[in-house]
Amino acid sequence: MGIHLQRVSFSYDEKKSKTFRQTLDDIELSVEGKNEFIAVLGHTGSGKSTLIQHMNALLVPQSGLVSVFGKTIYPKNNEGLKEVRQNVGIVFQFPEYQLFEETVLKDIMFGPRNFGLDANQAKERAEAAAKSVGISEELLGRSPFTLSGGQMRRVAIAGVLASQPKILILDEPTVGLDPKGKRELMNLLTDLQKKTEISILIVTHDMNVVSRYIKRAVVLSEGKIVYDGPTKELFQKLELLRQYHLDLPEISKIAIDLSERFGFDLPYVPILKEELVSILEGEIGGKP
Amino acid sequence: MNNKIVFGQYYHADSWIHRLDPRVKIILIFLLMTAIFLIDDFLILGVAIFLGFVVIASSKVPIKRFLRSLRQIFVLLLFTFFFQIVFNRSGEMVLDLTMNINVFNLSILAFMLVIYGSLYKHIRKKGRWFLAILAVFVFYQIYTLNVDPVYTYRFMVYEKGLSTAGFVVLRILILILISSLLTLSTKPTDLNNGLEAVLSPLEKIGLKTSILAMMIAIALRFIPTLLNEAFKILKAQASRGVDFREGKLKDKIVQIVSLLIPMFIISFKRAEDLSDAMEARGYIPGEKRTKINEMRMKWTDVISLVVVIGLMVGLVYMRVSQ
Repeated sequence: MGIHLQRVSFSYDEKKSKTFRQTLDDIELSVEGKNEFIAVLGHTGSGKSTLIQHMNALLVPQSGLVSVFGKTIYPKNNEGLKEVRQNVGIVFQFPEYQLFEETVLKDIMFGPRNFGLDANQAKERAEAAAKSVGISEELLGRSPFTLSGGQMRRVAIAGVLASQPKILILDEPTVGLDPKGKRELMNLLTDLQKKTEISILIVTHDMNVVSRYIKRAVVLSEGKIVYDGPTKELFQKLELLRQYHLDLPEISKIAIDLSERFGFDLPYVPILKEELVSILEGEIGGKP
Repeated sequence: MNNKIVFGQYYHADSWIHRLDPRVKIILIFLLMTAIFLIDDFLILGVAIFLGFVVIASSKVPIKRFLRSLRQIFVLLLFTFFFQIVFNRSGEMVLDLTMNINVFNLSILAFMLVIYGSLYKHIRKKGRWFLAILAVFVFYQIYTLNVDPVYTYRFMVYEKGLSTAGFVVLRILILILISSLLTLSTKPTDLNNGLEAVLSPLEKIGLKTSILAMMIAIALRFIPTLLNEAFKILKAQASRGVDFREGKLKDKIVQIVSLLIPMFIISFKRAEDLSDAMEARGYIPGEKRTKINEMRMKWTDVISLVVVIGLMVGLVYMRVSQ
């Protein structure tokens, strides 16, 4: 179970036009329905947004197959896509713009209501979802437009979580937040993942987030998957990172800079603070 | 992503018409439209149409694009034509058809309508046309039969009616072609700048044309942006289970509200940001502004103006001397 993309290709251009370019080119990707925490990385225009929209059938493949929890999505004539969207929830960039109801609670209830739950069930789920993203009960009765930016974003995420998707996809969830807000949101998502064991997939440019929280990374470039594997190994491939214009986490940059300045070899590129500390301790210990 | 939303019908090409000063182009189009109504001779009208097509051909805009704008008013043209033919009864009679409506052909008509209606969905476009023409033909045959007429109608066409109908239709045709030439060969922003310049004398009587032009320019600029935003919101709400194709009326209203309210908020926010940005860069409504692309008259502009004004003078002279 989960999401499986088989030889998926997609393009926004018409096949006849001269500038024809595949936005997705022969993508093979599997996302398990449980306990995954994936980062989708890639330069602007590499097809990340297009890829995630295939995962809940907002876009359908022009060739190839997408199967989502046993339901296959074909290039044409699909029905029952609602069920797919219930299993896979997407939180888009700047999701605070999707809020529209009179109260926070009503807005979070909107998703479950659409998926056919009655008012009581929807309310229960909404309250649970609000709690899991750290929205206090006093806020539930307020208008979403009176909240701060960070709070609005959490309400929007709760709005998708309330439908209890098995896979949650977030498109640049931390963009536009201050460092504290970023940290809080990422901690919240990691906690959520551990507690509920759902799969979370995040599109991001922030390598510090990737190195710190995420185990598996998928790198896209010009519509092709060029890396799919553990995050840690990705950051050892400096050549690959340079080729696809990907940044290193701050810790790795510091480590490389230090090693060049003081002339010692790194056994591996550290991506966490603790790793750098242990390497440095080893260095100092070796040369008293 | 996909920024394929194009507003207006501008067709990009590089021709002398495209390069004409938009102010001159607007004035020319206005003059030519007036000129069309001064012509009352079929021969001159024919020459005008020929010249029109020469200009259209030299604009490098595919003729298809012109036909597309003609298609929109096709029904109007047809209606005017028949109206003139049927009701204008002066001059000599050219055609006289006696038509009889009786029980026999009425029932046939009803029968044909039923067949056409039931077949309509199953046949392709060309087949439909063929069927329609066949139906008209068969109907006409029966129509002229003289069996117990319930009502007799004499379809009479007069010379004057025919010529007036021809004139009206041809004039509208040329009007549409000329105005499409303007919108097809001028970018919406240039058109707006041109209009602002042409209408600027109206500032003297208190009409703030520069503000109006700015408003139109901003509206044009933001249509694609807001459409993009609308698609994003649509997708976000679709992820929350909104399906615009199904649901009861009450659900549909909530679904549309879920699109409209975010759109309002985004528009207001954008408007506020934009007005701040404009103010920060010293925009004061109604004040004199300089432009980055100053419109300049070139020799082609002058020549075309002279030619068209010459044409106008000639036509007025002909009209007066008649």
